[in-house]
Amino acid sequence: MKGARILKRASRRLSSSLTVDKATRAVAPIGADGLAVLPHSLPVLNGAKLPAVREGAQMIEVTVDGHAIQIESGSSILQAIESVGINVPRFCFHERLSVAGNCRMCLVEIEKSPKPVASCAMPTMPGMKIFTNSPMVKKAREGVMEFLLANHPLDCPICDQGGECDLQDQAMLFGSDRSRYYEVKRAVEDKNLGPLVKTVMTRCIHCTRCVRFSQEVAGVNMLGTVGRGNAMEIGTYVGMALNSEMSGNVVDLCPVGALTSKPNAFTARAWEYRSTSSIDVLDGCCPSIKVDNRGGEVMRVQPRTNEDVNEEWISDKTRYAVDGLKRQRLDVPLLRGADGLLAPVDWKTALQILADKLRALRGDQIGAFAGPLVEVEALVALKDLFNSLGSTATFPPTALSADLRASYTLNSTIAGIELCDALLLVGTNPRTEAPLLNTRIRKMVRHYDLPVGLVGSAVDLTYEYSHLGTTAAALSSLLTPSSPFASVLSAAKNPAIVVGTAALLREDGGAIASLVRQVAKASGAKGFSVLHAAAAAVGALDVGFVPGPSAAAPSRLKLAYLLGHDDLPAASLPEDAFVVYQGHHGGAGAQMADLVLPGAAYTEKSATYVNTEGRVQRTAKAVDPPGAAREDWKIVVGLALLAGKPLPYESLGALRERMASLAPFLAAADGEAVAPSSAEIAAAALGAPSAGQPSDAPLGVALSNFYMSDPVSKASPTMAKCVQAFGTRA
Amino acid sequence: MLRRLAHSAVRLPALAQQRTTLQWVAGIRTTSARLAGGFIHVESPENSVHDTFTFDAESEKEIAFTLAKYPDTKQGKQSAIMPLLWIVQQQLDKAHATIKYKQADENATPFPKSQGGGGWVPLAAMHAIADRLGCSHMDVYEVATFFTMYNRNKLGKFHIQLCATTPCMVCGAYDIMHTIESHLGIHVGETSKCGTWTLTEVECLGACVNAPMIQINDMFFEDLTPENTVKLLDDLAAGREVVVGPQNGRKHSLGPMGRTSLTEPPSGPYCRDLSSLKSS
Ligand code: SF4
Ligand code: FES
Ligand code: FES
Repeated sequence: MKGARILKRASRRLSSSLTVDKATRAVAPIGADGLAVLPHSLPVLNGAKLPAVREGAQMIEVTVDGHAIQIESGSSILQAIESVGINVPRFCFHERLSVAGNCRMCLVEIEKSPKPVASCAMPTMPGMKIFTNSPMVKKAREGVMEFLLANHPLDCPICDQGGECDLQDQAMLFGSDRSRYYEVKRAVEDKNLGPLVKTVMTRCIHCTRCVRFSQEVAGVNMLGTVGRGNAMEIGTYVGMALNSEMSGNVVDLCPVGALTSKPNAFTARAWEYRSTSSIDVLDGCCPSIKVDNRGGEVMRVQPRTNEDVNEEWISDKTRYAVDGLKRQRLDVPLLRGADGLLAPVDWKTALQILADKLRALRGDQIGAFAGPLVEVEALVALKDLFNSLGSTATFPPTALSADLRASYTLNSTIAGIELCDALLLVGTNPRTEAPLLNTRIRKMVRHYDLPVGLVGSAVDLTYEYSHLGTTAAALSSLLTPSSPFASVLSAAKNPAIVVGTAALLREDGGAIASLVRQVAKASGAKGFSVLHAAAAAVGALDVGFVPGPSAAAPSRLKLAYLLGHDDLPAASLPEDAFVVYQGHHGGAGAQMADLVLPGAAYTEKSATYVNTEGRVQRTAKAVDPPGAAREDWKIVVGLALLAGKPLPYESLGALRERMASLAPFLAAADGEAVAPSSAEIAAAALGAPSAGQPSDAPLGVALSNFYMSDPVSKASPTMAKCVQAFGTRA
Repeated sequence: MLRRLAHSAVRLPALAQQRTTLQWVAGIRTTSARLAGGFIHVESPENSVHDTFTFDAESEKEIAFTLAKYPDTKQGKQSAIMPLLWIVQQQLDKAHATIKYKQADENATPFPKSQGGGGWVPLAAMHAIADRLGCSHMDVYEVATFFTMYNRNKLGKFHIQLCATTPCMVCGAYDIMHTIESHLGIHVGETSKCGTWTLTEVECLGACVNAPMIQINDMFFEDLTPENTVKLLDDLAAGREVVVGPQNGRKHSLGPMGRTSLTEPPSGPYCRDLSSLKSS
């Protein structure tokens, strides 16, 4: 009866939520038995996109709790059941990992089968009759649960997983409130997996999700099952840390409290968090995240599913660098006094001093430098202010030509990497610059033997690739058809070329770019993709935050405006230049500044970012900026007012209209619209003239330290511990 | 090479060394107690992550012979983890060549070389195997910890495996165990200070008819009594000749009445004559 209710509810929800054509949208009719008569091939109801039926796939008919459905042959029983919106309890099964079939929680009854079967591991057969709510299933689930709990410590009150624990939830449904087990429980030694993942191995139920994740997705085969039977343990055997840039994901995957977040240990309960859906900006991919805060403090970050960007993973930097948001924050304007020390001033004074300076200086004496985390709003406001002051010296985080969008974005897109059949990486280490892109590439190498070639330093990418050389000379040799990888590229129908910013930002970047273009042309690639490690990079180029032709060189500036920019060598500015630092962290930039304006970090404002693919997304405000810190665009607008050059917008809405007028695609920051570069435009990007000869210096990588690449992660104690444990990963 | 980079990785101060006594406090004895050390590698001077291991010429020959049996693919080679672990144990069974023995049954197959029962697999050897087969270190750890015949800790010169499964047990296996324990001053799972003896308790070794029995390195010693066990151990320690097989003069596994069945060749029907099938 319960199943019938679920089905009825399912069909109601279906009829309202489906966006399919009218013919299939009809409300499911109720049959003679009082149950909904379900239409064929129903989508999964959890909001996830339906996996497209593979071309040429055979459909077979099975019945789930008495309802006939059509399902692709080869689907598992669990998939068939899910497709009608019935939930199957599970521990070991995970959509993105291989099937292990070892927890037995997903048992269902199949007609004529004497025993219940594990639905995750059993394929459907035509005509199969599946029951998910029969007495046999109930008994099976209760039995499995009793076995799982027999050797489980039941220490929920002191367990960090409490409140978001699959075992807890499912024990509420299928568990008994008393035990028949009176023997001693098994105890397992905890493992030290490093500074990020805390272990309480006695709680482990041996689902092996963590093992499969680290082998299959993270590509570090360090976790395994040692021993056997009752004495089996999950561990690294030799007491190693889980050395991966993706290791934090095992915390999400672990269905119990065996693997929890070490930095967050004993800090908050799951039900105390207020969650905000946002995006992360600590790398160029801008994965979708959920920012959990409590009492105005960001406590943790977890991934949100976004098939186009991060699937459901995030890197350790995204997840754990957020404790940097509470350290070294600038929370009050600071002015360097006569004694050479920075002292607090109020906003009015600070902005007035700066406005006076700006009024006193000519346009060719001032310049602005944007850092890696700056949002489009602040960039537009600052650019407008500087332009109205007669300066075009606005320097973006990555100084590429902004003429053609296709020449500076990741045109292949992150998910699109799964469509290419040969991949050339130039001057990049995607494992540090874009860990999420790297896991995609790894997936393709693992499942489809994607041939990958790398020109640049030979780093461990977690998959096999052919190392073609470290210098640009290797690129030239790709132009000779005799080179083996050149033939791989030209044989490919849809080759992709990904160039790191390290290669393009060198002095001979133009020459390297032109070589890459030639390789692309020769191999029939539709253009090439640029991989940015900084979230602000593409946005800055999109709104033209680039130096104009007559822009003053940094060495001639009298006033330098560092917008979250920490990496400017002091020597590149004249001694007497007045340096303004606007940003949220007191790092190198603030140290060299004469005036510090405290801004808001990405969790404290609604801000637009364009990721390396050109995907326009917005962060959401989760908490307030600390102290007197203000949102960055407001600071600039206020400054413009005092400097006598008021900007034509005073609200976020008006500013966003201005952004849209600069670049129309910025209007819809829904994360969907990656304006694809048309074939002609991509071809035009390929046609740019060549510029000189590349030097024979080896190609480097964009990040010298994966864990500390921006103001937030540099302030994070957890990231510091990672560097200690794992090194810089450069 | 790249894989190695990943593995040369960080080694944290081995938790394993300060093993929690949790298991013992709780009074649990799990199968992990077969040899002290459980399922976590314990750093020690003789078995360290920093060691290296080289296969000797004999092992190399065995490895070449073994690998020829498996497909030359990544997975195919991975299947060779088990035989290679065993080859390492054979290589490290140093005592085998020094044992002077005579077989109770003069027609029995001799032991020309070690079968591996007295050897062990150091961590460095697991790494050498992984590198040789192109799989990850963890793949080898998983196999080596799963099977109880792989000894992951250094053994004494003589590895006594005492069978305590039902038939041996009812014939006095525990008397033998106590005899050995008190004679050598070690407990099950321990190695004697002098490094000569290691005692482990194992399940049925298939010589139940001649119970109780022990296996020392590769050799079976059956029909034990506390007295002949002590003599056997003393003889081995002194390098004197020992008798392999029943210690009480029994032939094979004959009962006290001697041979009572199978006294003549079986009368048939025999197997089909396959060679005639082939020709037709
Ligand atoms: S540690 Fe967690 S994820 Fe890993 S096997 Fe145990 S229960 Fe599963
Ligand atoms: S989910 Fe099917 S056995 Fe674990
Ligand atoms: S019971 Fe001891 S050998 Fe079989």
